[in-house]
Amino acid sequence: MIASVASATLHGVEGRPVQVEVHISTGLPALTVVGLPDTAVREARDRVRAAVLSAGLAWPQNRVTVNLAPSGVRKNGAGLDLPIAIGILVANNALSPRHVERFAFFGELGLDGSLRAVPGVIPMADAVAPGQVPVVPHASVNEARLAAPTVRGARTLGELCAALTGRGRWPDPPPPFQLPPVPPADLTDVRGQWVGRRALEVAAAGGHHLLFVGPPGSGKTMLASRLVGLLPPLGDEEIVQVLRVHSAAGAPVEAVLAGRPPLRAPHHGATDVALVGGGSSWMRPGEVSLAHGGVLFLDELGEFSTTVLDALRQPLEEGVVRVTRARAVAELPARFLLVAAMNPCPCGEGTVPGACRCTDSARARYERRLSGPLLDRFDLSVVLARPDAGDVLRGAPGETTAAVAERVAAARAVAAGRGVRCNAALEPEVLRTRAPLSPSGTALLEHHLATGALSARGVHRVWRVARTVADLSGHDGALCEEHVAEALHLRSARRGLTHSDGVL
Amino acid sequence: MTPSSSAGPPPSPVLSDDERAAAALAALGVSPARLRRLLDGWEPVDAWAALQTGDHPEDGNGALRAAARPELLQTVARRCAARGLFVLLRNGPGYPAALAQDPEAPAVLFGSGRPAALAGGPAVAVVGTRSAGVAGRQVAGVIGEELAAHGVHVVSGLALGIDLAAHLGTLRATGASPVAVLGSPHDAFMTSAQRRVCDAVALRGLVLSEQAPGTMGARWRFASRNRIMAALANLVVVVEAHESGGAWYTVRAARRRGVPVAAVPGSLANPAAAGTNALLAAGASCVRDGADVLALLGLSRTVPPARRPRTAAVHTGADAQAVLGAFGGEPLTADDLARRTGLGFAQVALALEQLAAAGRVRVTGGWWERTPPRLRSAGSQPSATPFS
Repeated sequence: MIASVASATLHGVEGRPVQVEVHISTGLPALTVVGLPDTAVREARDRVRAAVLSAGLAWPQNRVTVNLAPSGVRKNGAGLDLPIAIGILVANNALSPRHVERFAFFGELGLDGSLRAVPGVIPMADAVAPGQVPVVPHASVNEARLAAPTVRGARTLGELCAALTGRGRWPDPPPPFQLPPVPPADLTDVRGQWVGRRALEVAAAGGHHLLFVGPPGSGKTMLASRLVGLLPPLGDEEIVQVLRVHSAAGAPVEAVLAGRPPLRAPHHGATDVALVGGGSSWMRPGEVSLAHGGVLFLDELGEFSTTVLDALRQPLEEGVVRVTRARAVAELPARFLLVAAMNPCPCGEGTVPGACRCTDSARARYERRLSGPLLDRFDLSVVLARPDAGDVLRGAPGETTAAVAERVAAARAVAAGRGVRCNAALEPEVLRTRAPLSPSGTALLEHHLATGALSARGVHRVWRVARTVADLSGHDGALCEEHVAEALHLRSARRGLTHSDGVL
Repeated sequence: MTPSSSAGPPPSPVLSDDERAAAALAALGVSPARLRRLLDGWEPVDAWAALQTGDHPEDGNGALRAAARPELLQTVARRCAARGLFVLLRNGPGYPAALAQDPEAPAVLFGSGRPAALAGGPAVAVVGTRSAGVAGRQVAGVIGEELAAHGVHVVSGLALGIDLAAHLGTLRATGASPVAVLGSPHDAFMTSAQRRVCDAVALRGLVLSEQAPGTMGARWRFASRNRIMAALANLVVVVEAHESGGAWYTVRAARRRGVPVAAVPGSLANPAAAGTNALLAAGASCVRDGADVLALLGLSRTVPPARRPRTAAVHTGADAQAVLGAFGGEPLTADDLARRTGLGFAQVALALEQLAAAGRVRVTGGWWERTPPRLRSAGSQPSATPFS
């Protein structure tokens, strides 16, 4: 007997249709899976047999061959357990082919016959042929419904078989997602820290990558975690993209549904694969993709390994990661706002002149690790000092996230009028025509260019930030001296930081 | 010694047998005291031979005999040649006279530059912290420049911060040759700024190290090096120092030798001036610039220093005046300045830009410092400001 059941497998953030073919023939009882299965799929043999028997169904006493077509594509994950089981049941005449022809199955089986949720339900449900209804574990029904209008779910294999044959009803779908409450982290908790607050606001309004430099306890993490609240909510198209990534990585999707930009804060021990994705045959999305549309926060930037930091350069430049392996290539979305925090030197006190007690070689090592192209990508880099005791104890509460987010939204709307997503994406030619400088602003930039404090590329970065500063204040004319001055200050953490400066 | 005679790198010296043997002994990496004992009463060649045969009384357990492989002679000689280093033996020719009688004098010195650079004129060690502020580095530079211009050898350690600033000052002047004493071998790691200054000092004067090239550096060697600076100097000037740190080794070594110590005062709010202020409280002489140091040495200024042009008066606004007035002696962030002046961030930013362009303030990694008024003219001149 032969049977064929529709399913899908995951590749990066895309689903790929898979046809599960089962053939039962005479021979010694055995189960073989062919068609480039990975370890999890090969292990399905034992899970499927136990689940079928636990569900009280008959297991064929013959030779069973399972083929996963197309056989050139790697199949991965436990999501193929369910279609293999259904295929065997059809081939063994426990189900009729017409019971299953309208459905596509995804799900992992437990030994007791229960159906367990698998990652990537959204892209996989997306990949099924039109007219086919995804059948998923009950726990994944809500997620799958984001990709397909009709979804069926079941808790156990027995329940599923009963529903397919019409002997039982499909179970009621689970209650819809409870949207999580608004995150409690609000800017109003931050007392003082004017520079840090202003940098957050400008970063959110202009999409400028932001670097905080400061000693431990200066509030770098506190500030960075409040940036997502300032960003405008995700658009419909972005929500779909972000949902696919989160689903493919098995991350919760509830917050994305509310349109809230994601915040990812990987630990500095992260490997390059964990950050950019790949690593398994199905090209799991990395942290940069999970941060797509939101904020990637790298705390202790100096502790990340250099290969990991270098891997960030492509996504920062292009907004996508192309993960290339011998067997497969995947393109994963990765447009995020990078916020990083670092100590100025190993002892943490290095920015205050005269306070650092690090050895020369330790400092040089630390600076070498971060020098170059990555630091160049930060439009904003500000120094944070430990907050003033008076501010912390008696200071008035700062502006709320909502108030700042309103200004950010207005500034973003102005930037959209220049035909770009945000000011950080303004090309130099567009800057000249759409964001002109006043004579005093030009003079200030020229002065910094002449003294060597700014490179030609740095000038454009300051220019873009100055445009954002002006947008935030509702100024729509040429950029004045004060806008340029503020933009210069918002990148002052690296000014005059080289050892030779000040003495040479 | 006129500067013109020092032009061009010195020819690579050929080492004598004694110098090779002494260099090889130094390459064993033993402590300075043990190296002195190894060579005490021996010709270096004999000491090396005795070590090879196990007859040297200083090598009781034979550990050094195992380390003293015969090929070490060639290895060290080759490394010296690669860097153009000469070897100075205690009591040998060229060894600094001020050091020869010192009880802790290094038995062997590796040098590059001119061995006679220390001859003629007093020597002053200018030392201080690596993590110095703008003011400290400026003072060190001014002192270095003025001393060199008046025929005083400036001795320093080429560490980042004060040491480097002092030598950079001497390189701006034409006068007495500078002397650097390294705490590491000549071929050890240096930042590019240190390497540049080191090469410049070797070209104009002398760079010394008691460690053979190719040996491992060690932290204690830096502290141990400071005794050499103190012994070479007629006066030790501490420009900026923390309450503890390397400069204190130099101060203690100077006190043991009866070398007077002077210190530059600093703001009480500046942690990098805590050590120098403590020295002043303990009775060290107070110096503010090169003239004070020259007076302490008993040298009057023979040549008045060239008058540098004063910074042009800047027409800064009320905001800039308020920001300038908010500075104490310590470095501040823009946050601090906004709090002290009550101005908004944008106004503070603009005011600081104006002041920076006028050379009145300086920024190091986001921390702003007011430029000391007396020294505003030292160092690089700001170009024409866009605000005049």
